[in-house]
Amino acid sequence: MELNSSAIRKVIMASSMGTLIEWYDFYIFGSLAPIIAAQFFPSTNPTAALLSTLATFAAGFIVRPFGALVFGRLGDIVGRKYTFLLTLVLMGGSTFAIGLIPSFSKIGYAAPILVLLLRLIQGLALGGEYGGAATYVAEHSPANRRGYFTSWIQTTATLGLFVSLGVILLTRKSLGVDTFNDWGWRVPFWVSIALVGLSIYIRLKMSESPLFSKMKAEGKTSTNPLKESFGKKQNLKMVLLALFGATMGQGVVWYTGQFYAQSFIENVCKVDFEQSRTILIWAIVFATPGFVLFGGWSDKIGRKWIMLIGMLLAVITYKPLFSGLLELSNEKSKVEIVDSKKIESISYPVKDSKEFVRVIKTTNYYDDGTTITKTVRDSSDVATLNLKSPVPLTTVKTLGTSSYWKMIGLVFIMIVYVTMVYGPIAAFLVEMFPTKIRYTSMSLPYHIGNGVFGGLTPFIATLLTTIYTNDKLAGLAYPIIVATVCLVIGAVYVSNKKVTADSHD
Amino acid sequence: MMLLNAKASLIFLTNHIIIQIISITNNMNAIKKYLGIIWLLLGPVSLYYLVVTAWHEMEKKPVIDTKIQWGVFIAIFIPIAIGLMIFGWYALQGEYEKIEE
Repeated sequence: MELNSSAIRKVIMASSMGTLIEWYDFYIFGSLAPIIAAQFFPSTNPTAALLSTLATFAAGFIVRPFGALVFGRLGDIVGRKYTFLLTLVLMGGSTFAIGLIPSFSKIGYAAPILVLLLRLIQGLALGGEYGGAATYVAEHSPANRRGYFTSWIQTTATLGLFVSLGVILLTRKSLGVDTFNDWGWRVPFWVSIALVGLSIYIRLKMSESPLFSKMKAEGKTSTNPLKESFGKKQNLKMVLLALFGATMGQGVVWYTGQFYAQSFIENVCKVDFEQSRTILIWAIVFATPGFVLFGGWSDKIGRKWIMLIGMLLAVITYKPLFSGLLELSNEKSKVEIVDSKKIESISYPVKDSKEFVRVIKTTNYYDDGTTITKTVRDSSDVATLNLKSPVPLTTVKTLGTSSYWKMIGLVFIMIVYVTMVYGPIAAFLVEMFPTKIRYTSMSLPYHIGNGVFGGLTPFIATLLTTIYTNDKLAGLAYPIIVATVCLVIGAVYVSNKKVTADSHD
Repeated sequence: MMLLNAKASLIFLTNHIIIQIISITNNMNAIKKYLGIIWLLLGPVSLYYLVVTAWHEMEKKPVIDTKIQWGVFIAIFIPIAIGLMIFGWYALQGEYEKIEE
């Protein structure tokens, strides 16, 4: 059964909207990690709290392959449509519930435990969603245009991040920083339920995938997709090839460009909260058409080399690109307007002590419009007049227009690599496996590659910088090594299969 | 005379290496097979490196957070390393020679 363009557009719209919402739900947690740490984890040690949150965030990624197995199996037995409806309900419900959990100060350790449980449900749901949506769209599309049509699904992951950042920034701006940190952070979680309701309504009206329906009518569906996918050498070898020759590298390139870059700009370059997010938003806006461009192009020249060239460019240019980010935020490369320098200080006595604490805020202005505000704290003993050496508290840089747009340019390049590796991947995976075990077989390598290799990128890269403290770019070793191994395996073992209009399955 | 002999041997050796490289390059299946050995070894080698790094880091900062982090990494990576070894084994057995173009 071949659908006309308008029917395919409806299929894409309905599938993409649900997938976009799932990504939105998944990302708001990551974007709000520091606030969630303060709300749900013991406040005695902020670093421990943040790490715990990141671990909770990472846990959401790690369970994704299990979601792929559970829902992939269900999708190959029951059907694509009902399975990805179920994942949508689970995702929306758990996101909404995170927004309702009372803080650690009110319910103690029940708070982090509930957060972790709901985060695990989110991860499981996402593990089932993507494979279903990609398979569903691919099975509605003409074989020779799968790359183009599935690339719309590929845009949702990036657009989900875009929407999540947008909702967070809007809520923060309209409520004010203090209210947002107090309870306003819950709003983006609550917004999800309305979006999910709408998406469920649209998806309920859709019919089952034509290829799956045909197979079911003929009684050819798999009775044990897990055994057929991973118990048989003929299929297992393709699952391993998909993981080590494509999704592993694609995952690290994706998460380096869209997540580690933002974390690097905020935490290493010390660019302020809003700018570090709007830089990513602009870069995403400009680069997103790349998904459709490269997805469509892969229908003509094959998927393999577009993805591998994306990986190669990433491997070669990550270091200079990230060095560029550091350089743009480095005050030593700017000319200071000395007359404009501002110094403010507040002193206060420490209770039951002879000590006085002084907080000094120094703002420096530079010729390119950049301002850098450094806050330090020192203290002195009134009795001995002994002044203790200052302790740096915060450094916040607000970039001038030219540095800001140059930074957007650098992140844009990284996201173009993301579109190269990610645009064609859904069609690539769909074509690797037969219809009857497709949902299960493609979901697992996708979610190990993206959830585990990719999802852990910001976490592992940050950890590397704590081991090799002298090198601010040490974190890049992880994505560069993983992408290089994947590039070699992909170049040698993956075939550049071209699909024609009369291809079936 | 000796110098000429040495030069001739060097040219012979270089030619021999070049011919070998060309024949290997022409034979992708051989490359696929022999690279299998690297993937087969890469699994345990990277796992060893991960465990050693984890051990050092836990010794440096013996707090529960460090232990959990590294414990999680190792637990996740073990099945992936096994998967890479299976991939290498299949490659060595020539399983990837038959993939359609």
